[in-house]
Amino acid sequence: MAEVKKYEEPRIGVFVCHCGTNIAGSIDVKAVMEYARTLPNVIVADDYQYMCSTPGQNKIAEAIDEQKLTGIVVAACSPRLHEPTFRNATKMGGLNPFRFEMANIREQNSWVHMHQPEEATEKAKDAVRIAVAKAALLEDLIPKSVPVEKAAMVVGGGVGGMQAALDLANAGIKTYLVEKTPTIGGRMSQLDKTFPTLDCSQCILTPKMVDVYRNENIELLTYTEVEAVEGYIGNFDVTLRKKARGVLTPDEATARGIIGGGCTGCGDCESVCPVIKPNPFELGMAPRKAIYIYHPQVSPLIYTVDFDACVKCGLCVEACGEERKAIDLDAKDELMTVKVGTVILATGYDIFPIEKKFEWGYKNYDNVITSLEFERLICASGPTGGHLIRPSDGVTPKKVAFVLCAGSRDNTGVGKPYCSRFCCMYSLKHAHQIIEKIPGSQDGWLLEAHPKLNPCGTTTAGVYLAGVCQGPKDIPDTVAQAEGAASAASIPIHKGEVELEPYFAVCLEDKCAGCGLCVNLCPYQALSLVEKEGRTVMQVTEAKCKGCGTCGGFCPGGAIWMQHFTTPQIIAQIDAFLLGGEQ
Amino acid sequence: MADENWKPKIIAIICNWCSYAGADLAGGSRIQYPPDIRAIRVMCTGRIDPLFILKAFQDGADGVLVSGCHFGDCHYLEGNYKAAKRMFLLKSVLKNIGLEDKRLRMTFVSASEGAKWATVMEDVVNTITELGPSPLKELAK
Repeated sequence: MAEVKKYEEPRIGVFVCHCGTNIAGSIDVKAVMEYARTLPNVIVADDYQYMCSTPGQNKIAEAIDEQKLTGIVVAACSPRLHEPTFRNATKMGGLNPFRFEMANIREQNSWVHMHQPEEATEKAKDAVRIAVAKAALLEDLIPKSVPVEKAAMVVGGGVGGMQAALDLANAGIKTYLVEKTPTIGGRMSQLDKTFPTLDCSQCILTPKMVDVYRNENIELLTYTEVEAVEGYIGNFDVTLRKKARGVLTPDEATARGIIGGGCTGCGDCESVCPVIKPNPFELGMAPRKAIYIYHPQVSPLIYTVDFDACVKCGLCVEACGEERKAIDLDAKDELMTVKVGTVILATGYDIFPIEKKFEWGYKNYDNVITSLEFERLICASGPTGGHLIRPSDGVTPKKVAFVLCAGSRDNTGVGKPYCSRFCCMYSLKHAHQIIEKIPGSQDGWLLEAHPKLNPCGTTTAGVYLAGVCQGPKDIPDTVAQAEGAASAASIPIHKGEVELEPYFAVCLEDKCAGCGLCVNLCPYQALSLVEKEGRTVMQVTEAKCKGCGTCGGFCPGGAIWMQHFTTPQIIAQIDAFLLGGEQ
Repeated sequence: MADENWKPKIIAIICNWCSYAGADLAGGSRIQYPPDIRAIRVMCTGRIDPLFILKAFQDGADGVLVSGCHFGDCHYLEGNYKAAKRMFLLKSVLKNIGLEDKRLRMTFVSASEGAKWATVMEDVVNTITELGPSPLKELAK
C-alpha cells in the first residue's frame, strides 16, 4: 500500500445534474457538460434531471461498464449529502467506490449565485475541471471495519432522552442515561398541564420515569455530567463526572458495607436542615433546604446535598442515623469512563432571559411573570398549592394579559429570531387554565446532518439528536424525534460493525528520513518510529489514525501519503483551477 | 493597471467538518455572495502543506483562503491550531518575497455559520479586488 500506484491511462466519466431547477435554474448544465467533454482524460460526459435517482445512478454504472472508466465525477449537490449515493453507484458499475469525486455546484454555487447565471456557469466549469484533475489520480481504497460496542449513551434525561433510552433498552441495548440534575424528568416535570388535551404533565411523565428507573438495560446516571468524549462511531470513550451528591443510594451503601443502609427518601434530614435558599425547581418562588429532593416525584428518590449552601452542621447526618448512614458530607466528585457505540444528545433548552426585553417589565413589575412561573403557580404541587395569585399582593387576578412571541421572532438582536413553536398553543392552554381557576370568569442549536434526509443524525458519525437541543419543539415532536434517534442509534449496534473511511496516512519509506517531526504532531499517537532494514522510518498504526492529515501537511520530505487527499491530488486540483482553464 | 473586467482568481482550501459544512449551509439558506472563489475540500486544515499555498501563488492565484473550525472545535482536536501556526509563518514568508500577506487569509467558520461564510466570501473578494492582480501572475505564464 505504501507505493504510489500506477494505473492505466485515466478514463473519466462526468455526469452533470440538473437537480430539477435547483441547479439548472442558474447554471447552464448543457454548457458545463459540453465543456467537460473537452477536458483531458474525459471519455464520456452526460447530464440528467436527477443524478441521485435510480435512472441517474444506472447511467453511471452503465458508463463504467461500457466505457471501461477508471474514475467518476458527478457535478451535483454537496458531497456531504450524496457522496455515499454516488460511491455506491460507482461500486455498482464495478469500480472501487473511492474512484469517485464530486463537484459541488448546488450548495456552493447555484444556490448562492442565483442571479448571476454566467458567473455560476463558469464557476461550475472550474469545479468540474478541478474534480476531473483529482479523479484522474484517485486510487482503490479499502474501508476498515471495526466492531461496535453493544451499548449506547443518551445525554439528557428529559422526556426526549427518556424515550430514546427506553427504545434503545427495549431493543436489547445496554443504555447509559446521563442527566445533570439529581432526577430525570426534565422541563416537562415543571409543567402543570400539557396541550392540546390538558393532560396533567406529571401523570403522563412519572410512569415513564418509573419505566426508565426500572428498566434493566438502562443504567441511570443522575447528577452526572459529560466531561469528555473520545473515539469514533462504534467506539466512543465517554468520561463522566459523577458530582458529589453527599447521599448514598442503598446499593452504594451496601458496597460500603452498610447493610440495609442508604437513602430511603424519608426526608428526616430535610426537616432538620437549618439552611434555607430559593428553590430553582419552583423558579425561586418557594424555599428549599441545603439537603433536598428536586421535586416530589423525583426518580431516583434519593436526596442530594447542595454543597454550595451546606454549612456542614451535621444535623442531617444525626437525623439519618447510624442504621441508614446515608449521608456523607465529605463526598467528592468522581470520574468514570464508559465505552459506547453510539450517542444520542437530548440536552434540551434554556429559558430566554425575558428581562432583556425590558419593554415587558419583567423584574420591574411584580405582576409580570414568565409562562414557566405561571406553570408553577397553577400546579397543585407548586408553591401556592395551585392557587393562582398575583405576586404583588397575593390576590386572585380578575384579568390576565398574555404577551406572545416575547423574545422570539425578534430581529433586534436582543431576542431570538426563531419561533418557539409552542407559545401559541401553550398560551391558549394557559388561557383555558385561567378560565378554570378564576371564579366567575434559540440559539446554540445542534445541527442535524440534513433536515429532511437525516433529521436525527449529526455530521459526527454515531452521534444523534433528540428534542429541543436540535431546534424548537413541543412535547409530541420531541418524543417522535427521540424515537427516531433511538432507532438510528441502534442500527450500528445491531449491525455489529461499522466501516471507517480509509483516509489513513501511509509512510513512503523510501522518502522518510526518520526525523520524527510527525510523531509529535499526531493528536492520536498513531505514529511511531521503527527500525527497518537498518534505517529509522515512521510507521502508522492504522487503527489509531483518524485521517486528519496533520502529519502529511508538515512532513518536510513529502514522505506521507494521505490516502484520498494525497499531495499530487491536491496539487492537481490547484493547478487545474489556476492553470487548467488557460490550456 | 488592472482592466475593469479583471476578476480575481481566489482559491479556498477548507476543512470538511466546519467550513465546508458552513458553506453548504449558506447554500441551504440561499445566502447570496460573490462567485469568485473556488473551494477545495480537505478533511482538516492541518492537512494543508504550506507548499500547496505557495504552489497556488506560483500558479498565479490572486488570493488564498484557508478556513477551518474554531479553536477548540477541531474535529481532529488540534489540526486548526497547527494550520494557524503554519499560516502565520507563511504570511511572513510571503512578505519577505514581496507579496502582500493580505493575499493569504485564514478564517474560522463553523458548520452552523452559513451567514458568516457569505460574509467571509465578500470580505475576501473585496480585499483581493482592492489589491489587484498578483504580481506573480506574469511569472506563471
